Amino acid sequence: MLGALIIVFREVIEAGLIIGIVLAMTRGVPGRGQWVAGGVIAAVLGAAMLAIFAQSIADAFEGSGQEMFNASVLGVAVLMLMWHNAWMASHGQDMANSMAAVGKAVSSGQRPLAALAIVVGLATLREGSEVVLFLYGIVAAGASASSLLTGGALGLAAGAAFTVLTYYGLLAIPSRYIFAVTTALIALLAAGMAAQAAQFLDAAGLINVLGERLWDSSAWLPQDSIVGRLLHTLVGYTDRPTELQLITYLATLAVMVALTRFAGSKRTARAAALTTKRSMSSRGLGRANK
Amino acid sequence: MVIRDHKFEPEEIRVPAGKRVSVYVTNEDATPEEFDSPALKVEKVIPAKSKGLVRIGPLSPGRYEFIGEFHADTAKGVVIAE
Repeated sequence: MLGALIIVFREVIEAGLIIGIVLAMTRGVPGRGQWVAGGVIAAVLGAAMLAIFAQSIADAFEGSGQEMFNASVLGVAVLMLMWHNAWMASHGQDMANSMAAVGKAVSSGQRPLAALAIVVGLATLREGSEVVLFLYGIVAAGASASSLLTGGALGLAAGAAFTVLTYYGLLAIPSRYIFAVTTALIALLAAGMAAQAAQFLDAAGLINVLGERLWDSSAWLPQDSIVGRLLHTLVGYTDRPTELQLITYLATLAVMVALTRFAGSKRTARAAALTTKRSMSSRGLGRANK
Repeated sequence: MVIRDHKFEPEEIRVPAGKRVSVYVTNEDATPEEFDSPALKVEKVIPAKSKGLVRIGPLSPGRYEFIGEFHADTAKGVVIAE
């Protein structure tokens, strides 16, 4: 039973972390509950479908279908996170700063919510399909299934509890820092996902360069330990990274920073233009009064 | 390589160092298995009664352990690169 609990827990903490972060980021945005729940429910259904079609997916692309699928899912999630950070950099601060903009934020806040719901869904989909396959295996094995199934259910519950913990942990951060903290978290999350996607493409045989291992820290912090897994999801920790993974990681971070800066500078320019216009019109008004 | 009764057969395979190697893993069990090895940087589900292709390497000489994650207590093996 304990074995099943640990396996299921290990598979769900990645999705759990991401859900916790997304919920903390979107606190106060109306409708976020529906979006996130929608993402999770769609992903659980998708995971069951994936498990059913596991064989045909595995056989696709000359036996590399699974790797290609994982790489695509991660790739889409990275793009969504990039877009989200850029969007938040250009609108988010306005939303937070101006109480008058709350009405507008309600409607425009839906857009990044959709992107985040997709990210939540994709994370749940990948891990969820493994849980479904594992639990299916237990059921198919029959006999001693009930105690294993209990373990699996407890593992899921522990994963959910972990999500709650992440959420409240992030909420403990003072609100004036939360924007910077979540932006940085998302950037690191995306970089880690991109590096993972690169490794899947390598495993699929699509990339055959830069496969040299850079270091091996598995003796100190194995990636398959709980702490290793958490760091793997949060900052992309890998105990035996290849050159390709490190380059992808750094490149994604660089793109993320550049995008956020660019979007942020556009916002500043817009704000500046607004201020100039206001001061001009008030001066104009002053002259008219004379 | 074959998975039978939640065990790998053979449990030890030798591959040439410095080359990419494709290993076909046939799962004869009625339950899925996940070929998992951080050392080999492989994580691949092999559904029940089916065959999966695992690409490894190029490896420097050494021992690389792997497990079947869904039955980690029995499904264990090692790749030796030389």
